[in-house]
Amino acid sequence: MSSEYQYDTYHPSVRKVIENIENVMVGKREVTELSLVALLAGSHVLLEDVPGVGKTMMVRALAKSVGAGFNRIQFTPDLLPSDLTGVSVFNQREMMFEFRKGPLLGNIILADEINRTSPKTQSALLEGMEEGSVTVDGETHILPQPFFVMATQNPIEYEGTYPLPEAQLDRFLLKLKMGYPSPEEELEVLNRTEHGHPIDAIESALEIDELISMQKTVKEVFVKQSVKQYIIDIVSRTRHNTSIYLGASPRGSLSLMKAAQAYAFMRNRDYVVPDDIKYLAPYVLSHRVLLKSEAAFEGQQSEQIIKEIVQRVKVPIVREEKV
Amino acid sequence: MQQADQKLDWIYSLLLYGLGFLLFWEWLRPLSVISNTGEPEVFILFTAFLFLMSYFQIPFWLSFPIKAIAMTYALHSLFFPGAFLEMIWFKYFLSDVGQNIGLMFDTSWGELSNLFRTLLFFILLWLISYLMQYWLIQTRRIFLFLVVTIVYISVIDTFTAYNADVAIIRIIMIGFVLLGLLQILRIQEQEGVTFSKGRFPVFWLMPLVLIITFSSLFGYIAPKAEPQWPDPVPFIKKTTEYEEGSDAKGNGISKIGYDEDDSRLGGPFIEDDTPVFNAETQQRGYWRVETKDVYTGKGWDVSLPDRRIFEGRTDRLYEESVEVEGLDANVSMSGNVEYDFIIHPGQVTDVEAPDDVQLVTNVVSGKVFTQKLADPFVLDNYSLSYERPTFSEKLLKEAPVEYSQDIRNQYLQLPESLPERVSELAEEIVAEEDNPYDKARAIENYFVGNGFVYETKDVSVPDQDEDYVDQFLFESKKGYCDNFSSSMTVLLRSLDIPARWVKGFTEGEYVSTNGDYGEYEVTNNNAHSWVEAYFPGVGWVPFEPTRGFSGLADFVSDYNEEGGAEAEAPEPATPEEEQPQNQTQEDEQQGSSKGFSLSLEWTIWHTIGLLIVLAAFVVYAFKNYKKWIKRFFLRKYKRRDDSKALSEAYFRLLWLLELHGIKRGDGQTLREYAVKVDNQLGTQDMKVLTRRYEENHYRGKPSESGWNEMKELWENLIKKMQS
Repeated sequence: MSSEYQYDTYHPSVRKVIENIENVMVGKREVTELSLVALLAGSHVLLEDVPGVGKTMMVRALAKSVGAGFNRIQFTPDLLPSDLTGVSVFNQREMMFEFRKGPLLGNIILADEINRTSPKTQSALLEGMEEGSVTVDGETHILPQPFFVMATQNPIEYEGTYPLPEAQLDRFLLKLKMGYPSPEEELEVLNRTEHGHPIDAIESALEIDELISMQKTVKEVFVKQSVKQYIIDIVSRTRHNTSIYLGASPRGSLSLMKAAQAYAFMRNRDYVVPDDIKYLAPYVLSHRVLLKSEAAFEGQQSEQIIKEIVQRVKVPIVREEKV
Repeated sequence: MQQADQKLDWIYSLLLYGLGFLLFWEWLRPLSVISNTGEPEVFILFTAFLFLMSYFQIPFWLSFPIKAIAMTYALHSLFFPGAFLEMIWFKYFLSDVGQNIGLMFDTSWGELSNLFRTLLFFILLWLISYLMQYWLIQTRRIFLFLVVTIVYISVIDTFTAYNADVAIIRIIMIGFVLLGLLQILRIQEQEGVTFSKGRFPVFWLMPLVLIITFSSLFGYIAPKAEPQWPDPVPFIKKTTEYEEGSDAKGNGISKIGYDEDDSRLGGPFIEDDTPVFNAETQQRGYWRVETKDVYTGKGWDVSLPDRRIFEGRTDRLYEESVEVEGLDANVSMSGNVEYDFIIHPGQVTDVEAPDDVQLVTNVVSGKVFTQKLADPFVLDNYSLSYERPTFSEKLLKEAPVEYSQDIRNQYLQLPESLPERVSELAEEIVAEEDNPYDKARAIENYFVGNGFVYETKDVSVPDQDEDYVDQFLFESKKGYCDNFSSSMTVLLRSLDIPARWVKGFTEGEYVSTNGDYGEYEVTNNNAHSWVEAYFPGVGWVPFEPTRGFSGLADFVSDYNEEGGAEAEAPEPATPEEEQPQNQTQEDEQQGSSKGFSLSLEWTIWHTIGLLIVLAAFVVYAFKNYKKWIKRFFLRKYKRRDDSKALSEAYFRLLWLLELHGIKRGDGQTLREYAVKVDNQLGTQDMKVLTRRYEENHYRGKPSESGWNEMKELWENLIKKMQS
């Protein structure tokens, strides 16, 4: 036994992926893990951070590791929906319209600076994320599986941006922050990239089919009734918090459960423990609540508030539910 | 281990049965007092036998006939002469049972034969022995029986002559030990705790035994408050208008009252405030009925039963030299008793009674009978004139010691069986006195102090070879007026001072004043006996030896205005005489107040001591209870091996950890808590255990227990907590 007991080990496949990614990323274990959670839950991630902290590299490494295709879309104000979805072009040789796939029709999409584009384009992206399909010229195109969007937005510059409405933020399973690396980590980054970028060196750690079957298994992870109740307790607390103007929706509860299932799977468990919920709640819920203006003005962070809420909700440890 | 366990069971059962029997014995003890049961030993032995049979767990098919035979044998020994094996008695027995069963169906309970009733009683004992076995061995509960026993004994103590002072202590001690034992057994059985290597759990029993012994001892020695409620008996009697029946006497309980047969004195009596008569009189005083002159060694008789017509006055009590005051009194009987004699104060000079009622006096006793046509007649109302004497102490002290032969013959009589030590004691008491009067006073005062106690309940009856007075003077020293008065009379006689035993009533309760007359109500409780000694030239002078008798103050209050060398009263009267009496009273008060302060001090010290011991125990228990609890659960879960064991043990651990001071917040998950615990205890075990518990708890299909692997970690954690 090591000096410190670890409750969980990684699922073997997940560990391979993480190790693979870590060949590229330095000290971003948490973001890696959480991104994987979203991927495994079949959902999407919103990364909110300043440019240059490795968001793109993260997604690329992830895509490469799971053997999936990777598309990057730089959102600009003049980006049109069809730039995402693709257009039908008339093929004069064949004398017929031919669908040219847009970048959205890939497995792993990096939607960079999503808040810079017009709401029209944003909603095209979000529709794809939600429906799993895009419709071009009356023709519906199913998006390939797995489909994973990692959208980023810059929290600093608000001029000329179109902040995502709450309803659309809801579509992201998690909202993450990259954060700066520590000096040691940054040094390591420099060391690694001294002679060529490591991203070019990594291979896929997983077949894409394997990923799909993992996604299916995640749905089978067991959530005990009392743990579900714990989720609901937490979510409903967000609706009664004095600092929160708008609490999390039922979709929030659902997302929290899905995320917890994926997290449990990743930790090589076939059941969810309250710790999973507790850990994930701030990532799952913070972008689903709307702070009261006075709270926001005081500088309160929704992550912090969610953490406080979770700390107060009673953890289910009762022996057996007495039916 | 197995063997040791069996041995343990053996000891337990023996203890339980033994204590159970002792407790049940308490039910049988009062039998001889409350019923006509002549030989309670037979029943006790039979019960002991039943308990023994249960204890040895004799199979039913064998024990039933054995018990039946034992029962018939007991019946035979009680009721039939002759050998057990002669079957004639058995035929009689069977026919008797048959007859009585018939009577039972007719509900003619009163006609059941003694034999049959005894049989039923035996069967009752039999059933109860089963019941006891059930309580002790099956349900392990005895509280109800204990309560019922206490109630039973209290009731018996209150309403009959049975004295349960010691019985109640025995019951409490036995009962509490039993309760404690059974509780330990129950816990053991419910929780599956066993004591290591079959050792008898002295560890558990010691505090129990110590506490019970200590508190019982303390309770026994500690001074007790007087009863807070008045004796309920008279009240109940009053409300139920209980008739003065003869049952009580027949059952061996005496009741206070005027009883004409004094040939066998002694034994307890119960109080009875049934009114006997109401009297109007100008002066309070004792009421005489008769005197008795022959001391038999057991009681008093009258030497001559002769009667003669009452000629205006009874035999003179006082010589001419004694100043007397003529007074009169009206007596009206309350109808609760039927007396065919006159109750009178002092020297009767005249009785106003209807013409057809004859008055007859016994020459010796001075008892004035009322009769009509030679048949006893109860006179309900009468007025009488009497003389109240005033004795001169001077005369008394100077009275000559030559007595007439008649007086000597009649009033110096003592039984030959009277032990020597009685007269030796008498000589000792009066060693410093030179005249009969002072000697009499010395004897009278001897009963104040010297260990004599006024007592109505725990009063012994002399055995065949014992003397009533001797027993009282030297052994029991506990008794009521009869003991004191008889003793004084006998002591006087042994000093050659003529004396006799007087019976009657004390003054009674003041009711009202009617002109010169005061009305007094005299009840059975006022029945009394005292002493008269003869002084030539003076006559018969009354003495009151009865110790602490409540009437004493009343005697004193009788002395009044007269300040000379003389005073009046049937009871000692001159101021000089008063002196020693007051003195003794003061002495008594001083003595008692000293005793009180002493006992108060005693109580305080012992209370402090008890509190210290208790406090020490509480501190000890408080310091160690966590340890005990941990040990207890260690033992408990070590033995478990079922699928729920892990969960339960884990929860117990959480509880113990909280107890240990490692608190878990509501919002803290088990994992977080486990990290905290492990940090504090310096282990990794709690995390491992928690992980295992989660697997059992949060999983859809709980995995198989895994408790066995976890036991060690679990134990380790508890031990870590202890260290």
